[in-house]
Amino acid sequence: MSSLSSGINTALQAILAQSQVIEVIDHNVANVDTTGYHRQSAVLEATSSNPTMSTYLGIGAGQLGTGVTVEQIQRFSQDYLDTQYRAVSAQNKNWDYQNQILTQVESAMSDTSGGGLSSELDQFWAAWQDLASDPTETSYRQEVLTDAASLCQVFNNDAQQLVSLQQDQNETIESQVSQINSLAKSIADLNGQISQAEAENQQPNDLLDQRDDDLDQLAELTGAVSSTQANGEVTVSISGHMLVTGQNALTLQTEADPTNNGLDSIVWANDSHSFTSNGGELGGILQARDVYIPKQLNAINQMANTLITQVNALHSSGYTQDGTQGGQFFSGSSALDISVEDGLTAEDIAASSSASESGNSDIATQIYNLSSQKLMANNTQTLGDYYNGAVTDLANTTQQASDNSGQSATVLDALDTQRQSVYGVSQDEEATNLATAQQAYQAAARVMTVINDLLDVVINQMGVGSG
Amino acid sequence: MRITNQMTTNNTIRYIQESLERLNTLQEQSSTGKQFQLPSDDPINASQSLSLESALSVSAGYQKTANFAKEWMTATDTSLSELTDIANQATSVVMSGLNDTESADERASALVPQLTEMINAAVDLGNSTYQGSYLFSGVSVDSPAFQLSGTSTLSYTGTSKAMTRSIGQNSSVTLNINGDEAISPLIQAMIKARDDLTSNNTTDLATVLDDLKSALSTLTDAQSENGGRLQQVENTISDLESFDSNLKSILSDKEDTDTTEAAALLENQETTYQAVLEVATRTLSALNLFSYLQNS
Repeated sequence: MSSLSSGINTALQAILAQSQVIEVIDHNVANVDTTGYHRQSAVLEATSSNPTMSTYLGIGAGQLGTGVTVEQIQRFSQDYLDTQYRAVSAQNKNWDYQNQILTQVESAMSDTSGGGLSSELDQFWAAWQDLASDPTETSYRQEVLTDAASLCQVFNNDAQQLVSLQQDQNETIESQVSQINSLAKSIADLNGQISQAEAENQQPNDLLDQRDDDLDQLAELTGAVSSTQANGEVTVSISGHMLVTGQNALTLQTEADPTNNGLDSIVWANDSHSFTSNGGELGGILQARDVYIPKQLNAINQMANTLITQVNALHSSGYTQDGTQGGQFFSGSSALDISVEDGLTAEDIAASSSASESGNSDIATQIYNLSSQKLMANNTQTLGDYYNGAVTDLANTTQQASDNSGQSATVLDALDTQRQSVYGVSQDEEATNLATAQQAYQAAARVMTVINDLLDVVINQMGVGSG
Repeated sequence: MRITNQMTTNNTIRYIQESLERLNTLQEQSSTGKQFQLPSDDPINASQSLSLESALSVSAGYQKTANFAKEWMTATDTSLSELTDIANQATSVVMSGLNDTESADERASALVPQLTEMINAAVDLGNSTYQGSYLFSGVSVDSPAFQLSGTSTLSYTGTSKAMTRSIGQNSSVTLNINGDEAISPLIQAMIKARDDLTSNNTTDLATVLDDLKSALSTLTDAQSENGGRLQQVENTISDLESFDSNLKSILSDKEDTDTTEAAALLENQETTYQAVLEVATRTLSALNLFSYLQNS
């Protein structure tokens, strides 16, 4: 049975529904710059209609609508884009971190504009070459000492820098592990709230936003992958090991690894299995810390060691100007501790192969000749070539990391644009929707005024006692 | 495609960032004059430039050694020339000693002091030094080559072992002329001549003339041997110099920025950057439907 009062109700429903629409728009506009916010939209639905009698014929005239209601607050998202985005962002961060650390390694070794190991080594050989030309010249002897000292200095500095870079990564690893743990905990908590809300048939839009944001961060950190269950919960795993199942989160912890110079290794707290991650920031850091830096360190250590052994062997077989047998030239055994023998003076340099031959510079010549002897890499490379190879290897790795980081960033940008296109807030769009809702609201209010006027006619101006 | 506000913002930031990055690279290249700052900017050229730097350093070392050898040999040549002069003078002194027009006493008193002086001069020349090192002592460069004990006993105090120096990967040069072989005969002959004149032993004096002649030819041989080595060293120096300048031009090709090109590119990029900024200002601030709806 239709009536004017039910018309008022219909108008009221419309006013309420449009208010809700405006509130959702308000929420969207408010979150225009919020990271991870997915735009929402109030989905309107006509409410159920009632059968109506024709007022004249008394037979059915069809169903009459009862107005409008908000059926659900829809959240715009596309799962497969999220999955792709996370996979690429894990790669991107991985290369990005490798690139960052490798660039630091490169700068630490600084070898283009002079002052690096290569040019110091050249100078060291040149000093011996000079001394070989005139072993009686004291300034040349002094030069050998000075250049040897600065060569040692560069060896020490480079090794020191590499070691401290390696240790710096440890601190980052520790903070990242605690970040992973707190993200896993947060995801597990959100899982609980989300499955509960969904069981009550509520769309937990903003909780989903939070969880998606957490999952984005976790993927960047570790390359973690997730899959959504029927009850709305997600399970998360890293390199095949479960991290979050339902409302339970496993934790990771770091412990000093005695087999790796006491650097941190990461293990799962529950079963002490070691944690492996090839993706994400953490994977990049581990790769740099455990592969790239040790490789460079090993290269300069071997160089220093070869230099010490070879130069010492020749030097101790030679004679000084006053005919005494030469001693050790270098002390130490690695890049970290190589130094000119304590107390060695210019007079102690043994350039001659025979006592009491002041013009003899055979030992100096032989030491200089070490520069062109293939002493490294199973006697296939000179010291200079070997170092050049190490630098080039590092440069190529860095360039590759930088290229990959750039390329994956481009893909990531494209994917992000696609994601944004689905769920981002457009102010222009919201303004348009707002204008529409405003008009609808105003129209409903107008309808209500008209019905009110009609009721006024019926109640106050018709029948007995009126007029 | 739906364009959202965050997309516009992110893209704007990215465009500015990319443009700035290119600008920064070009600025670095122009102001440092180098095409790469780190080896990873250009691994191949960086590796080659390291090898070239090493080769340059090696070549500089050989040049230094070769120049030292050149100066050593030039000093040797000067001493040998002067000794040749003395040999010639001694020959004419001995010739006039064999001349019978004067009395034995007269000859002795006129010629003996001359010869004594020449002997001393020759010993001094035999002990010539270059930068404090004795030229003719063989490998014992810190002790004099010749010593005259008394007036008539000459001893060679150097060694016969010569000094060799590397002036290339596989080439070396001998620095010394053996003083004992090259110079001793002359001094010995002059001592003998003086003693013969003092004792008026003209028969023996006649044989000294032959000794002097052969000493002179020994000296000339030594001098031309030294000259040959000097020539070799000079050739090496000029080879090394042209090798050097080749290497330097290759090196510069590998690592130096073409300044004109860099300046042009830099200017171009600055214009691009300005345009990017201008576009950014417009997209970010001006366009928004809300500002139009307000007034309706």
